[in-house]
Amino acid sequence: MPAPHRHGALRWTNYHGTESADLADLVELTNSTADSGREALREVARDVLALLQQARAAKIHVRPLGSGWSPSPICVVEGGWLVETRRINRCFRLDSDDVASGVDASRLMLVQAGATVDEVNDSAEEMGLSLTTGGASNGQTLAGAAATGTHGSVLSAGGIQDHIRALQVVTPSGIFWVEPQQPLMTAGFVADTGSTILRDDDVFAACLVAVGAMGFVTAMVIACEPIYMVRNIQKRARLTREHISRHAEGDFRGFSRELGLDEDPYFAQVILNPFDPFDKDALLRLLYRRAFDPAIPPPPRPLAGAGYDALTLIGKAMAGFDLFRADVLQLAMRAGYAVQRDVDDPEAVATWGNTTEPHNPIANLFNGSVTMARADLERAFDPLIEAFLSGGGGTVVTLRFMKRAAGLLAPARFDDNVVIDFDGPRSDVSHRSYRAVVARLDALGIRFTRHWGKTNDLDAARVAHDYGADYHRFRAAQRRMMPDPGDLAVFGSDCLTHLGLI
Amino acid sequence: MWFYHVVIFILILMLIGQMLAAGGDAFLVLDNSRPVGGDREVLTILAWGFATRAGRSACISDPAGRGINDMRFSMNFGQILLSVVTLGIVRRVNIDYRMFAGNSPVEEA
Repeated sequence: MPAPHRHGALRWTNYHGTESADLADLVELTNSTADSGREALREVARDVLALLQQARAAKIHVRPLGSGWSPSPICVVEGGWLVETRRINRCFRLDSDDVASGVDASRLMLVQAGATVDEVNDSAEEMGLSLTTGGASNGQTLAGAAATGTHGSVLSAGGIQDHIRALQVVTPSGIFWVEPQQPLMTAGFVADTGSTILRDDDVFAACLVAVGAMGFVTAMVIACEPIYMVRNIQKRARLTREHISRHAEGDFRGFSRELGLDEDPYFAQVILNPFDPFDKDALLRLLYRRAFDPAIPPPPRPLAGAGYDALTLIGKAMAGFDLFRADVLQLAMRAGYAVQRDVDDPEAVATWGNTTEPHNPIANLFNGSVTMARADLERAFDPLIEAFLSGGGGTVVTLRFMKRAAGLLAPARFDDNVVIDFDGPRSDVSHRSYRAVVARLDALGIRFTRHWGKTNDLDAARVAHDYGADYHRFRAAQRRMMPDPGDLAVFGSDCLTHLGLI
Repeated sequence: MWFYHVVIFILILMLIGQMLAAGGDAFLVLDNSRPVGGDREVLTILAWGFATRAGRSACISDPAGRGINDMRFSMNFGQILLSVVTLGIVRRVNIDYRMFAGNSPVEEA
């Protein structure tokens, strides 16, 4: 197996061009070509262990890097090493001999940490399986998406980390196989991966949304479900206040009956024009579960739509001009949903993996979000929009809905959640608008959390306040995972220290 | 006189159109994209392409030997202005690229 490729000191920029850092080294892990998954895991984990021990001896900070997808500086380490995992991207099927008694191996998959959501979707489909949920895009590594609590808008599911059943985690002191107390894998399998078993419910829950503060994740076992398809309704429509009330009540069937199909949607997402939410068109996306039909071909890639520079340009133009902002944004939204699929159009049905958006760079935009109890949406909606506009506003506001997600630091911590994204040009105006939203929610006394991977203005005190007892359980689990403070220090960064996570 | 005004107006519109069009990006990607790493190359095309080849080509290293996954071609506003001011004699173009990480079938654990 080739040694990791070391690029040396360089200035690194993330995928969407929103953050950068001067690195002491960019290390690119290379993958094992071993025939068996367990052997591949062992070889890669040993490489990572050697790197971490070298970093600890040299007092260098290390951050694992997946696709560099997060718009926030969460994966950045100024003057440290970024260790890129993208080449460790193989997926493996498990056998009944690999798992503990009573565990169904046919729905499990062993995934290396560098596999993107797109790759995992492809591998799952090859095995006749599908993921239950995912983010809006599929270019993130599954490990990175889980580490920041990425989510979609599947009404009956939590975050992408909910798929994870076990993880291989490397610290400078060793290679660990982290599972809940209830065993998942056999001792023999774990030993073959070169790992030491660590069965602890809180350590496992902390590793699900680890924000890079629980060690270096090199592989995961994920649970999928039998392959399914979804029908996609994607259209422009005029929203009313009653629709917002229905969302707050969880009446998605009623919402769908009026604007989509008369059945329970599997997924519901609303993109609003905040400058005129009820008199300008919103963009709706509703997905409905369908049985898998192998005769249906994958959908073609969309041929039209605004590109990176065009969207960035619109964002910057909107930051500079106040006139006609609602109309300019409406034009941009139309460009974003160039292809409409309404109820009477020919059915657009695809597997779950072929439904998420392809991973092109989005735009150099500001992204911030808040997650709160869905029931609070009705009373928060008007004040939030008003607060957002009071700061100058941004571009679109997106509503997504989900159940409580797994993980001690999962932002979706209410039984039923609404996640509200506030996008805009990468400027002080957008940031000011987002801060106004946060302040208004605080003034209203509404509990909420924020996305780890987006601009969030969090600090240690606020994280401790938002996550309460779960935050303290996270820190205790972290100490059990890395009792030696020198090990924990390896994963330090300005961002994690500021958040109180290291 | 009005004829010249119309011509000048149309020429200005054409210039603005060309400048805006030059700001649009083009993205080329493999069908089953598996990106890793990557960097940005800034190429300078001199004298409308009549200058030496080195002025408009670049070499990148590919230690893993799997090739390029995607490329994005773009010009920022400063580069567009430079091109306009120099009558196209100096044209700088950004090429953002990422390498191909490989694509493996599902194997046995």
